[in-house]
Amino acid sequence: MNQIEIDNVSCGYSQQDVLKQVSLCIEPGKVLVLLGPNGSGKTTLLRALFNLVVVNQGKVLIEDQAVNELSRKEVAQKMALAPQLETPEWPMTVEETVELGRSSHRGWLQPFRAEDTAIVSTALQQTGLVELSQRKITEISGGEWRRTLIARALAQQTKVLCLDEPTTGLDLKYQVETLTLIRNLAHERDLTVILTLHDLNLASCFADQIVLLSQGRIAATGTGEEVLTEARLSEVYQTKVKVLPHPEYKTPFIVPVL
Amino acid sequence: MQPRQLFLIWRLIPLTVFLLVSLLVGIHWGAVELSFDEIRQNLWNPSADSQISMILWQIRLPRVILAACVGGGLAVAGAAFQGVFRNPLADPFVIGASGGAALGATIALLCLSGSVSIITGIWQIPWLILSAFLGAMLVVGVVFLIAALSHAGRNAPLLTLILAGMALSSFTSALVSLIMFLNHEMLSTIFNWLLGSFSGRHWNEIVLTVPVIFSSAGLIWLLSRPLDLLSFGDETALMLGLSTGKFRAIILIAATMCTAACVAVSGVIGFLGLMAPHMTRILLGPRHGLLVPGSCLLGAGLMVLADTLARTVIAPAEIPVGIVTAMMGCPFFLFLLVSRWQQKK
Repeated sequence: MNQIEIDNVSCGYSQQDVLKQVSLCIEPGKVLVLLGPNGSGKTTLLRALFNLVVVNQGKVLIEDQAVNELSRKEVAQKMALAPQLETPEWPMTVEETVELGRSSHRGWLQPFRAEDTAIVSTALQQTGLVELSQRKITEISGGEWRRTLIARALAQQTKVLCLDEPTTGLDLKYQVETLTLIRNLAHERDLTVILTLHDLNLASCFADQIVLLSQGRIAATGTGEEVLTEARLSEVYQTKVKVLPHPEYKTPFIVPVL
Repeated sequence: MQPRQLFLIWRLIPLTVFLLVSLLVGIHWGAVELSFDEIRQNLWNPSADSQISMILWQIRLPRVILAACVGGGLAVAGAAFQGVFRNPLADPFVIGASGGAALGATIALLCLSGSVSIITGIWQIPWLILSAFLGAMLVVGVVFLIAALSHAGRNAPLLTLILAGMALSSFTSALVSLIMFLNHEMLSTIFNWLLGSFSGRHWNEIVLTVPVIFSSAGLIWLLSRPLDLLSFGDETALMLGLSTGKFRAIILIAATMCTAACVAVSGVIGFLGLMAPHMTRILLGPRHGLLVPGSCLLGAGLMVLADTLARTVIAPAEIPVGIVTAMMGCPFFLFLLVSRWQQKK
């Protein structure tokens, strides 16, 4: 069974479509990376999964149910999103912010259970935030804030995990650690992971499936070797690139040609 | 109950003590000073012919209790508005509640004073409170309607709500000014009401308004978890499983009702609804589960102290309490602006 099915979806922020007639099936246990130049519709596609944009045509199904027919709570129990942009306004602690990820799993008046505490502390451990758990979110670095958002999404314990540019602002160590964690979760717990990335080489290393978007349409989909070809990347990104084999893993390794 | 929840309740104890001390100070001080012994005696054994008992039960107690309820109510409404609008500078009057209440009360005062006054005797005060309350709810209703119409089918964005609230506040204040201009003889009555005061309030006012304040503030507290999510913005709240439109509407209506009841009974008392939640946030953090009851206790205590100051500084005359809160609040507001600016820098 497909975890997520996007059926001929056209959507955007008003009547004007940013994504045009996109169809895609996403299987569980795989890491799917959305690639594409700025404005190609990567974030819009993620937002369409959560019914956060105006869908003018087509439908998004999760476990064979239309997303727009599910309640917000049901959606949050099935899918979690770590957004690209979110500014902290109030000085909550990192731990309190991650605890909000448990919101959809308990009633609005139900107190925090031991089970919730355990899940939150695991999410903090997985993202390397244990030492920072009592720090205020208004006083941590951009990279630490991004890890907090990922931890909050992990605390939702959903079968589908979406991350919008999770590596932006992270140093190399955390880029690799975060993507390794996410890939392990996908493979070991059979999660469906959907990421948007700008770094083609990270995408090539970590993706099981890549979807290359260009001007709101799918330009190519498949494995790294199938999608990341010199001709296609040069055309979509409108800049010359060279694709070499990665010295260690033999996956495509992309370098720009100046 | 888990140790975690017990620990949270413990954190409210200092503010509870602050409120109790404020109440005691408020009862003790006044044009006639009541000693703590007299207060204790007359509190447990009131006697009909004792003057002290009369002062305590008919003047001091209703006044401090009402001041505490209004202070607590305004502070809770302020915490709710700041959370929902994600704006630390929002206060209970941000979406036009005070403008509407002022207009309602002005019209009521006008009807009461006319030579053909239709409402007399004991009905005057309920009439004033009801008009102010209806005025507030009406203006806020129009604000919501405008915001909804300008974004048909989608959730009204917060900015539209604030702007519509500001526009209607200006409109209602122009109407109030016009009424004052056309009715010179009513100038000081309306003006005194607009400045906010607890002078001459009795148990009637408490019975009429406190249930509204308590129930709406209680509802806001029950919804403190949704408020936590809303304070992260609409999209985050949606992604974390909250039906934002429904919860935001319930919280805003509750906060508006709370404000309207407070304004109706005491006039327009500014700054406290802005100040108390901020001070509580510094003391107890931004989670609404603690912030809402904490703001309520602190706001109540501060209002009782402000009112005590208002009636003792130039005793036997009184300053409207709105002037005291504004004079306390303005420096705080400026401090807030400067510290936020430095934080951003």
